[in-house]
Amino acid sequence: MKINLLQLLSTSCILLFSSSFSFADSCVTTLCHPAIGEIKNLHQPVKDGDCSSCHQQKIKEHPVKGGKSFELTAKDAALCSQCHDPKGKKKVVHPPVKEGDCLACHKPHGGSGPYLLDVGENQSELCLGCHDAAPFKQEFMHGPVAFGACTKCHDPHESGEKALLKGPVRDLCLNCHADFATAMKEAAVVHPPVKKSPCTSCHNPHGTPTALLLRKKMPDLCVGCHVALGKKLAAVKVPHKPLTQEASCGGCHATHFAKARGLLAGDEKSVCLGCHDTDKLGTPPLKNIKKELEGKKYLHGPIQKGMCTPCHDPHGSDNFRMLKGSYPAELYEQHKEGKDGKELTYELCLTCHDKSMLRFTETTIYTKFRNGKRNLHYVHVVGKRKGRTCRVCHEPHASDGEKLIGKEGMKFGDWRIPLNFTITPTGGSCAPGCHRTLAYDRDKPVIYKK
Amino acid sequence: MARRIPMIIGERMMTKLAMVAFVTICALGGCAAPQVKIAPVFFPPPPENPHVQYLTGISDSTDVGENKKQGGFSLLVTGSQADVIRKLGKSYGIYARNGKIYVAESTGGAVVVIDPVKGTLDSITGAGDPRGTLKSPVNVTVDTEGYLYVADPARKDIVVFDPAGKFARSFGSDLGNYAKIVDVAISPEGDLYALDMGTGVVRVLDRMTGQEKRTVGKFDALEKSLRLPDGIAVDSAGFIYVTNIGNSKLMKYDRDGNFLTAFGGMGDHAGNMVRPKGVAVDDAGRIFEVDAGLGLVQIFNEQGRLLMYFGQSGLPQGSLNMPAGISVTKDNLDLYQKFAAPGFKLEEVIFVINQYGQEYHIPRVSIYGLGHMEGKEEPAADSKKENSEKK
Repeated sequence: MKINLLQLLSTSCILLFSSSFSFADSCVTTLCHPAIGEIKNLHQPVKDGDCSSCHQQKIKEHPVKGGKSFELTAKDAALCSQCHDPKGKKKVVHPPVKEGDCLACHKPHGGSGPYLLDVGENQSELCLGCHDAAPFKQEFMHGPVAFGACTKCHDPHESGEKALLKGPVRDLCLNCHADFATAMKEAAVVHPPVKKSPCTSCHNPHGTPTALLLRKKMPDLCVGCHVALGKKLAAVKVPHKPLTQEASCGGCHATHFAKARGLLAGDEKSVCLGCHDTDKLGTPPLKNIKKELEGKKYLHGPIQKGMCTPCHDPHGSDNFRMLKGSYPAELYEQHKEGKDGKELTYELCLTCHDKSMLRFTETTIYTKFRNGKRNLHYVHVVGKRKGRTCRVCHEPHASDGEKLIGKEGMKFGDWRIPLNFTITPTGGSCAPGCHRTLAYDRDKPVIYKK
Repeated sequence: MARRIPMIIGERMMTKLAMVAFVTICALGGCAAPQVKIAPVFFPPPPENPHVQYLTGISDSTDVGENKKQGGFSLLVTGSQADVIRKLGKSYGIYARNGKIYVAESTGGAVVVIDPVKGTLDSITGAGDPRGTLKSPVNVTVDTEGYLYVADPARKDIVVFDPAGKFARSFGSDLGNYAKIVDVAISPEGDLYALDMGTGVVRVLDRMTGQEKRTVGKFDALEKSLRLPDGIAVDSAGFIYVTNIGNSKLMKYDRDGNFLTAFGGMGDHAGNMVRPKGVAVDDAGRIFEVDAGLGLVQIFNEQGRLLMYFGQSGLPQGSLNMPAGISVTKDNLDLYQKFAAPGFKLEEVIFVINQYGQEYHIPRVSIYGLGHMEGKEEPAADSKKENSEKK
């Protein structure tokens, strides 16, 4: 019995080894398994003719019609992990890997592409075999996605990061966008989400119907965080037009980082004058502010500091010309005060300038434009017959005249009404198109002829 | 909802506290030399950042310095006197200038001048010149040249003393039978503003001649007018602040006499006023209103918004009792800094007169320091804005 057993064992061994060696030469021939021979990139054991590392003959006869002489040496992933390190230990595992279905992607004998795949660098055909193609066929596509280089960002087996990413989102993005990373390090102001959050907070990494791979078009994207601003933009009566145009927020703000506060490319004035430097902006055209400021001797206080926002709200407002407070659109306006003393007509100007200038018929304090104590600002602006707005005498932005009094005069339809304002140590005079020449003196009041 | 100001004087509580303190002192020290260490009193109390601390008080000459002698003070003509303790009698007004503190001692018929640097406390009584004899001085002020102006309604005039303490002149007796000048202030232009409680106006007088230039505070509209005004202060820009008992408000006028605003109003909530008395304005534009009805001092900003209050009753120390006059100064800060708690940096010192309460060891003059605790800064305005945007 003993002899019989030994004989059986040795016979089997001889049969097994002798047959395996014979497979190597005979499995892939023009008659048998010819397709394997045509594969471009063969699995290394196949290349080495080592079929038995995966296949085991169970029945002597081969081929058997309607049956199988060979079976795999192990099932599913266990077969592959006989040679390859087992996968699926990390936090996120690709479902086919988890299920041990390596052959969902890989060709066991070899493929036309690398890694036993039947795809090359463009892996979209393979990946989209399972994944819905719609998100990857958008008007604006991320470069690697457009090319189908899914594994540029994703690990096809497993990852410690969500979505099988090869690393943390920011690192992954900045690995390619290296110039951007360098510039951001040197930037004076960085948008906080760019500094801390993943790029995917704003961008869709695959593709979008909106430019710049933005998850939503601006300003909808921006107001997702800037909630108060969103509410304001939805409600303002006078919006800033660029916000409703394609560039939207990006028209003024850099979205990632910038040289100046507010993610602006420079000081406020420079940014504003980037557009307001032409006679052809809007219908009817807005003033060419750049031209209005150029070479002027006197600038309005905020403009001297390079600021426009103390008066204008760049996001829009309920007031004429996006002003931050009320200011009449018309040349003449009756001055009004609320019951509680709140300024209604010149809220804008009187936020900085003392409101008392328009409160009292007589003063020695709140204005130098007075004849004796008679408050001539009150006479011109509050006077019941015709309230003249500030712009009748003062230029809002710049002038060659002291106190921003316009040298060229105020535009009155087709005519510029001259002011001919002169100033003296104790008063001054006007010879405007409005009335006869009149002087005023704070110390020795002028007596006017009636 | 506005916070209600604690107004409970709590006589019973005071008695209990006194008993507890007495028993404790006896137990620890055998009734010998009771020395009770009281923790610093801050306003607002912890955990808020402190802005005001009660520092000390003055009731008599021993509180002023080591030199307890009277005399030796340039403004005075009292001559040499024996070593005596000079107690401050019932007082009303107070004014601090050039390092000195001037107290209108109404019942004593004197102006007491305290020099905290020299450690002296002396009186101007007009002695030696009957024209300068004071009857019941209630408020005082000093001009840039050092002349002292005393409102003495019992005399029905304003008495002026020169920097040496000698009678210089008096005026105001011709202002009419109903005139009752209760407070005085000097404007930046050098005019003397005399507050007339009798007729409810501020009389703008030439400080040299007493000639009336104009009046402020009389309008057809009652809400703009003064009724029973009690205290006056002028800020560095020349704006006039008057405490007006008639409507329990603080009234603000400009030097042209225009009414600008009024705030306060009868009530016992924070920011209300009951019997507004003394008023002072500091260089930063903070307005200090002494309220005898509420028994505390309220600080407002230029817009009349309440910033804080201090001196309320029921504290271990630092409570006021029927307070009246107030004055704020930056003089001699180093001198007062030693009374401040470690880390509390003084920016200015506030003097408040207590008309009563000496039986409860409340001093005649309570001294508070306005400042900040080093290392405890207010949150930056920018970060507040940022937080609010995220909401």
